[in-house]
Amino acid sequence: MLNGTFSMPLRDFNLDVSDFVVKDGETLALIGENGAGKSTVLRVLSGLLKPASGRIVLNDRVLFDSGQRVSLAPEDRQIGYMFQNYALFPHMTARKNIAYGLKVRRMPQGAVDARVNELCERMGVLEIADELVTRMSGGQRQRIALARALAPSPELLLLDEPLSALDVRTQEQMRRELASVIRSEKIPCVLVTHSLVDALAVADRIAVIEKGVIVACGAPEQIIHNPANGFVSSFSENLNLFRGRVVVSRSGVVCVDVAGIKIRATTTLSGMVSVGIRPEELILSRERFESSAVNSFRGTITGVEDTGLYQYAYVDIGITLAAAVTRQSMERLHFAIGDEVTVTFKATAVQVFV
Amino acid sequence: MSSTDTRKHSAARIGTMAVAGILILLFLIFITIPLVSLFTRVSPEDFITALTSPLAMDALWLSAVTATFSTVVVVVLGTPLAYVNARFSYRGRNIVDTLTDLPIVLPPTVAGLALLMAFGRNGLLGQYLNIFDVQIAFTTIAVVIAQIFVASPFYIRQARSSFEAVDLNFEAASRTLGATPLQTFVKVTLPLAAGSLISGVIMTFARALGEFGATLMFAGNFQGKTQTMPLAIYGELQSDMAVSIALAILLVVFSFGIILVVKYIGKRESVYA
Repeated sequence: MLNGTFSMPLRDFNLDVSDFVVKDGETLALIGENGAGKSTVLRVLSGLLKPASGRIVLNDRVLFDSGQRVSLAPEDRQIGYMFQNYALFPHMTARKNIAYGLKVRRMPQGAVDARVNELCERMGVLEIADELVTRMSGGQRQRIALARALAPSPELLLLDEPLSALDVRTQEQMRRELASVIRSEKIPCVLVTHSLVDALAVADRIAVIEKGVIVACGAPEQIIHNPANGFVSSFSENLNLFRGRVVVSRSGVVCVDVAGIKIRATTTLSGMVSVGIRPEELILSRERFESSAVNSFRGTITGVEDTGLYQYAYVDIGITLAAAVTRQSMERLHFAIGDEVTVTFKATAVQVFV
Repeated sequence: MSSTDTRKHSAARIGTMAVAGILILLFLIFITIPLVSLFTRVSPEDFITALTSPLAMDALWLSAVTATFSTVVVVVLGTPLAYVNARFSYRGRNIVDTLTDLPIVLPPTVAGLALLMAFGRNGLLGQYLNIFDVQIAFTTIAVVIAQIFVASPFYIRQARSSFEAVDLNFEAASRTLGATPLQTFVKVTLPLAAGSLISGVIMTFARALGEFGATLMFAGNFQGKTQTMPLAIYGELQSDMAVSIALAILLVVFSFGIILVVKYIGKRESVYA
């Protein structure tokens, strides 16, 4: 278990984190805008940065205590850190990268080889293990970076924007892989991201950080539905994020039941899930029309918002969906508050995650 | 725009290019002619005979040994300094930087005089060394000291910028993986900076090899003891011109090769960027 309280002055504000607790096997996602102090928290926990004051304890080991003048060096903390852009050593092969943390700890060569092979196999990178990491794709680099961080069996795993360096298609898959790896490690994990979708996909709890202070912390559904701050609420409105339950009909049709509204989706997950539908995927029309899209709902426009690039129409279909409408369409179709409209979108436009 | 205007413009452009071309050509000729004239003054047989003369062989051997030795000393002493200046900011860093750069612009005779004042028989340090019957000035050690003094900035400057070019996150990653600062330096920072460091080593070696002024002032010109190749070239000018020319040709070819090697390394370096 990780338990930390620390503070230090940053350039524009103070970082002030208290009772930062992450239990074994728990994943905490730290979300916030760029420059909110997310990565600084990871650097403080790992020992790369020394806070002005505070106390950090990991499994009864005091890593830092300003009162007792304790401050363990990063190499003595037993913390796995996956950097943004991974920081894989470019002069080494994947195998050497993964073995690095074991070699510097003087593990016997035989044991190093066994552990590296085990990790390569688990991450599915055994075939490329002897290639230089500079030649690899984003997804491969991420798997190797994760394997490298896990190799010395850390007591805490820190992930800095683990998915942001990947293209959208790879992100989907890596999000799932990451979630399963983290769950199997049974150590506390802190993940930093500016993407609420990533946070929802892998985190047990979400902490929202704004200007160095954690302003909200709780289970994903709590954070989404009781947005304590503008940052999350702007996300949840514009991403159409909901919690719901997967329902499979007798004929095999998969739906997610969100407050009684059944949204058709393609997923293999079951139980409680989060769903997200990007506002650009929603088609708004006055009349119901024939299409290949399986989700079609009648509702009432409850609000219209102009953000410059897009105009958003909020449609109440039992839950409120935000639909992005281009300025041209808005002018052509004259949508206004109170109008009855149809919202249409494909099942594949519905992102489903744990 | 009328066609006469266009013609006038293109005529002007051709004029500019012609002038630039002539200037470039003039400069290249200016550089090449002296080098070529070195090669026209000796036949290949004379070249070999001159180069294998005892005096030339002594100078060659002494140059190789002293330049190698001083380069090693510069690397050993300069690497920690370059790394600290690349990674840490402290009060007086600029002064330290200026001090280490100074020998580049200092006239070598000034360096030689300064070394004499420090290590000479009555020098600041020399007077104490003299008590123990240790003499430095006008010995082979003086040759090495003069080379270190004059050539060290070439390595230290290059090393500092090559360490600065290594992404801090690589070092941070190494530390979190359990490596001590020293392990991190040896296993991560050095290999990543290696190409660029080697360029610095080569430039330093070349500068040490070419050292003349400070050596003459501080070490003198004694065959087999302090007479390196540049000193031999100067010394033999009056007596055996062929030896001077043979050694000069050797240095020209060597310098040319060095610059090619450094350029090649520079190109390969971009792999990690």
